[in-house]
Amino acid sequence: MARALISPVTRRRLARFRANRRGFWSLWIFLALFGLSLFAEVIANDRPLYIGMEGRAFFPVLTDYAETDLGGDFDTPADYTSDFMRDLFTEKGATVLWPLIPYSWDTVVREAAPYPAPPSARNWLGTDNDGRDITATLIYGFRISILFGLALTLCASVVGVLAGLVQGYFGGLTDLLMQRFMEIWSGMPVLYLLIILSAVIEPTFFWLLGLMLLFSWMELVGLVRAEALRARNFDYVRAARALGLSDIRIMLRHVLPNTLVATITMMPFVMNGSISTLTSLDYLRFGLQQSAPSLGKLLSQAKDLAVQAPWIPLSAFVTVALILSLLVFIGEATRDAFDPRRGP
Amino acid sequence: MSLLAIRDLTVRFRSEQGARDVVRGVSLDVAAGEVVALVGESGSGKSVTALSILQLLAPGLGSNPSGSIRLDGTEMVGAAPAVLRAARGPKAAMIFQEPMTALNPLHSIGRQIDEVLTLRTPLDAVARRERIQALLREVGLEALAERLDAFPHQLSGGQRQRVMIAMALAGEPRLLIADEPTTALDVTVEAKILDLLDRLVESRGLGLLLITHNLNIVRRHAHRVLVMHEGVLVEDGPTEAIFTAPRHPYTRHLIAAEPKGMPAPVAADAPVVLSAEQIRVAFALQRGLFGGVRKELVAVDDAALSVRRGETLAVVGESGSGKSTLGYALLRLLPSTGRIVFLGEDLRALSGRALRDRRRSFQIVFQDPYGSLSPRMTIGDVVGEGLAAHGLEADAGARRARVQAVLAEVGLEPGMIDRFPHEFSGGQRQRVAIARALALDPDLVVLDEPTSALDRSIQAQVIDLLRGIQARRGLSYLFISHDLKVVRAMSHRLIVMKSGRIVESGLVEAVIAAPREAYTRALVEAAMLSPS
Repeated sequence: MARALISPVTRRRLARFRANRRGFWSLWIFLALFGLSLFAEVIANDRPLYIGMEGRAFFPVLTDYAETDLGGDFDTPADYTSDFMRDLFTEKGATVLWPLIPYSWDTVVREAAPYPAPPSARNWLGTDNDGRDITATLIYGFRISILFGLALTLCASVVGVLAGLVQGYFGGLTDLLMQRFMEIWSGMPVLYLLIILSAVIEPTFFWLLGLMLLFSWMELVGLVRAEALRARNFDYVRAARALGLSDIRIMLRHVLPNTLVATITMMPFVMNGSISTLTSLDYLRFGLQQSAPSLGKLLSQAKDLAVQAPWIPLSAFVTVALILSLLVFIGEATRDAFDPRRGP
Repeated sequence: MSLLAIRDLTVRFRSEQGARDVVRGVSLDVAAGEVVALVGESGSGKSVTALSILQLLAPGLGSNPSGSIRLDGTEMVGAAPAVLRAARGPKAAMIFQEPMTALNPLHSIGRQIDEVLTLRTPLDAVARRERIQALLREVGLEALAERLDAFPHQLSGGQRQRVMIAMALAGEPRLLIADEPTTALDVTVEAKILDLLDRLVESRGLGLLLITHNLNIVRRHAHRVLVMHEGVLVEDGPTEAIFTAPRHPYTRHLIAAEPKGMPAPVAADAPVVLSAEQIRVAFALQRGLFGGVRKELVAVDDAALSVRRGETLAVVGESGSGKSTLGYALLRLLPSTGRIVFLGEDLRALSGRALRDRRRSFQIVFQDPYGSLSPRMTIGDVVGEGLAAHGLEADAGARRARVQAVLAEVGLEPGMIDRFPHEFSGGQRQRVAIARALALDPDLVVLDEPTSALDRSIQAQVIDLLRGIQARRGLSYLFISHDLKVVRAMSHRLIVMKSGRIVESGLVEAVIAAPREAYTRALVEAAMLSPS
């Protein structure tokens, strides 16, 4: 007997998600933007995509070439934006294919000085105070924000769901001790901790992720714990215990699925929180350091240059607002899809 | 002229699959001073017919596309909201099944009855208070007449249902519609509520439309019976005529569906499978600073019992008597104290892994067939899960074959193995739950009200099935129930529990024929057992 691949319940949920047009389109826009930003190196880079020269093909985006490989004088990594290289290409009649935006996020656009430069045909959104192209910064900053948000949300959800499951399923003393621990732990001043740590180490992507994870896993615990407390008295969970199944098996197979609806519904909002936190930390300059493109740092520049260079605050604001709004809309549609009042 | 006249009524429900007529061409009358019973199995359309009378179907989902309902001379189908509001209360009032959810938990009972009086009468506050007290006395709540500030959770189920009736009476209705008014109540309370309704019909000249699936109630209280089946009224007549000479085959089937027969006798030398002594289960209500129990609720106290191979021991009692708790404690699903010996082995001595391994020998079947199967697992996974957990039939193919064999044993098609629970009816689900228990080839199965949530005709089938399995496999059952009819058809011996204690025990026929305790007598009386 042939059976459908997805259960009727899942199909109804998908239909309800699709019925929320705003959320549905937000998801596609978000996926498209995120997909594009994953290939940021091909869209915005200070290295050509392709150089065809003297019958040989070079792909600088994929490989690092020394200047000597391209016929230059020094055995150092080639700087494709330098006048020397440009002259070299012209001299050898090379075919050079540049990306759509010929700057990476950390390229200093020399010809645009003085900084900040207003929007122009070359720098679509102008440059920031350090002479870097804002469009490129936005693309790379968008990517790192989303990746950070996704990673933090996934890790925090896994830890939080497991902790909630254990608390709710076992209850009693386990629950009591973990609850008290969480109350104390959530009282820690996260910001001060970050300030102190950033004095000692330079926070990188993974440092920051780990540090934020220490505190953000608690967000989902309450929700999952409540669902698990409810589910452990379900007859089929009792039946599973009577069958002699181990606690871990019962938790993962019978209790966990009950908590997933609540978790999935919350996830877009948790991710929103993660991205906002990263942006605010960057804004306060306790986040990612100079080694990374960041929307928050752009915003903090904007604070000082709002009148002088309105293109900086505008572009940074629009980008952050776009990410957060898209995620909220997706979250709303997810909530509709899983709403038990609209049927299972 | 009759109080209520329904002609050619259709009830239509809209869903994602399209519109469906769940009630078709129903016509019925209720006169003042008359008790009319509307009988049928779940899903037969009796409740939605009742909701249509006051036009209380879920807006947008349910509607009456055709037919007419004349209530005390007023047409209700298609009536304006103002007309409907004027009719709800003064013309007809409803009493629902679940008094806990029908009363608002946040308001005192006095306030809830007062709300009706404020709307319907010109009385001032003092007069209303007197009226509320009079109403409460009328429904037999003398004690509550001075405690109008009591909240629903402080009352028992029977008291709540009486408050509901008082609320209904506050609007001085001419017709009462009672939708399974006693299904959620214990049998001894049930009789009292129905007597109250009878009295009100007589003293106030009310019409009563009583919706129920319980034929005992119908026989004792109704003047006339209407039988509904799949949305159509199939029979209509005076109560005695319906019971003594039913015309429609469905009515005959419904009346004949009463559980009958006896379990197979137990061999004289059958060994004891389970014996327990001094079982005590207590829940701590309040703990001291250092974990000492300050206040506790004793759910089971000093219980002792034994079950032999091939024997069924029934545990009978009302809700809250501790009968289910006793069952869970014996399976060590709840912490308890006392001695539990299973097949000569002290269960108390086992823990962790050893206990889990032992569990395959004693299984449980729950009451609610909808809650006891995980909605996300196929029938094959549900039944095969225990086999996998115990490392029996490690080979997936062999396991599947064994699951199919068990499904066949409980009367399901082996081809249903890949279906999900939502594709099955209540009776079929209960069969799956029985298959899950049987898959591990246990020696003892605790049956926790396995037939209470099922319709009468399905009930009889499940009882036949359980008896057949017992005869074939020599299984022992601990059968928890409040329904003495089912108990008699299933069990050899019974114990009666009240407030956590065993008050009476003995052979089923002996206890039913000559109950010693007043409580047991009330149970026997409420069950209306016919001599076998």
